[in-house]
Amino acid sequence: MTDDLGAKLALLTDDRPEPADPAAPIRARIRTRQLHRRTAAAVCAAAVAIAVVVAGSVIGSIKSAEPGVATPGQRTQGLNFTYTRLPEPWSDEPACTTQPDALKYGPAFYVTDGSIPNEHWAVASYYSDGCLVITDEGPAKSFGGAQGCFDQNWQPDQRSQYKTVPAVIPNLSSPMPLTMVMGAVSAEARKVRITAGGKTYDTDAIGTPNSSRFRFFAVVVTATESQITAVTPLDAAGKVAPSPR
Amino acid sequence: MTAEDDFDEFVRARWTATARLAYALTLDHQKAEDLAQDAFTKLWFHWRKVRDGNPEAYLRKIIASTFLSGRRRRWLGERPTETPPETVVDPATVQVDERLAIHQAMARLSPRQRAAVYLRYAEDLSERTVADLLGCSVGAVKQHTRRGLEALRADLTFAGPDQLADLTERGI
Repeated sequence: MTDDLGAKLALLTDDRPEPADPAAPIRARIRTRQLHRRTAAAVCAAAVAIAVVVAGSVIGSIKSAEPGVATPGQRTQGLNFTYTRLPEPWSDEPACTTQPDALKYGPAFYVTDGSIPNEHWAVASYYSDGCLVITDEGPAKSFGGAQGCFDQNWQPDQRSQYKTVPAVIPNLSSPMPLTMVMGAVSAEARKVRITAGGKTYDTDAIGTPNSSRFRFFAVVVTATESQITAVTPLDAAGKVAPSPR
Repeated sequence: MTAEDDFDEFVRARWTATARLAYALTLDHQKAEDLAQDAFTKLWFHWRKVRDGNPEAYLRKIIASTFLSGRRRRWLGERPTETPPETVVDPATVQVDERLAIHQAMARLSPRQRAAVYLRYAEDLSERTVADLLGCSVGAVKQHTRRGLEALRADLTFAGPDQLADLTERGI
């Protein structure tokens, strides 16, 4: 029976139409399937990229809702813009922006940093020509993430434009009058001399990639806002620097 | 010779045998051609890996698994009928009668029984090889084959009294 069955099964498959070239339709199927695979791969890649971007934005917004917690994801990315490097002092170190909506500050660069009781702070210039933002990097948030822009409303002989931000340090046994002074001076300046509460503070005027017109400065003085009496930019020769052009 | 040329040569050399197997499983010319083309297409994406080994065995495996998985998905698509679905052949010859008879008998088997019977007795493969192809145990192959042959034996249009006696003697 089994030998006979083999013969019968062979008979079953005898009468079939044969294509002229069976390889041709298969080659066409292979091309179609390859195209589908590439399309699917491209769609998957695009979906993954979108998911990553969306997830990154969501995570970034969640993290940035916690001022003072710096994360690598908030570092300035994609510094592919052109700028004129100013003479020293100069900073092109990408900065963490720890404020809400941190992404809007990019690209940002450190201007300077320092410490007060319970807190480390830093000031960064960000994308807009002439703007600064304070990044509080401690639990107290003493300066409240203040920011300021100094690129408008310059008077003809005005040599500096600045903002003062008093520190609010909770749980301090003996209150200290600490005030952040941050602002902009002309690109010709190299230092900024601040007189406050009878003392003189010298700090560097830092150039950053964000501006070729201004240099930036920031310093914390032991004085109240009302005790700040002078903010004077000095050029490389130690003379009073001109107004920004 | 490029891999594509090599593959095309293989397709031309193996098309007839592959299409026969596909037809024996599907019992439909259109479905058989589709299954064979699909199997060769799948084989191409593994061609560099299997070309120096045993591509025929790999192709057979693809045919069997594609057929069986297709049957699982569309099991209700097959309804054995009293009359063969293809009646375009000329019934005037004995050979055609026999072909109709075997077609009808095979159509009454389950897909696994049909595959097991065909691979064992038309392709003359061992039970172990058939088990590998169908993704089941040797015991399951024996069972599918036995039940398939019983079903064929019960089909009076396929097996006459002498053949039934022969089957009984062989213990099949």
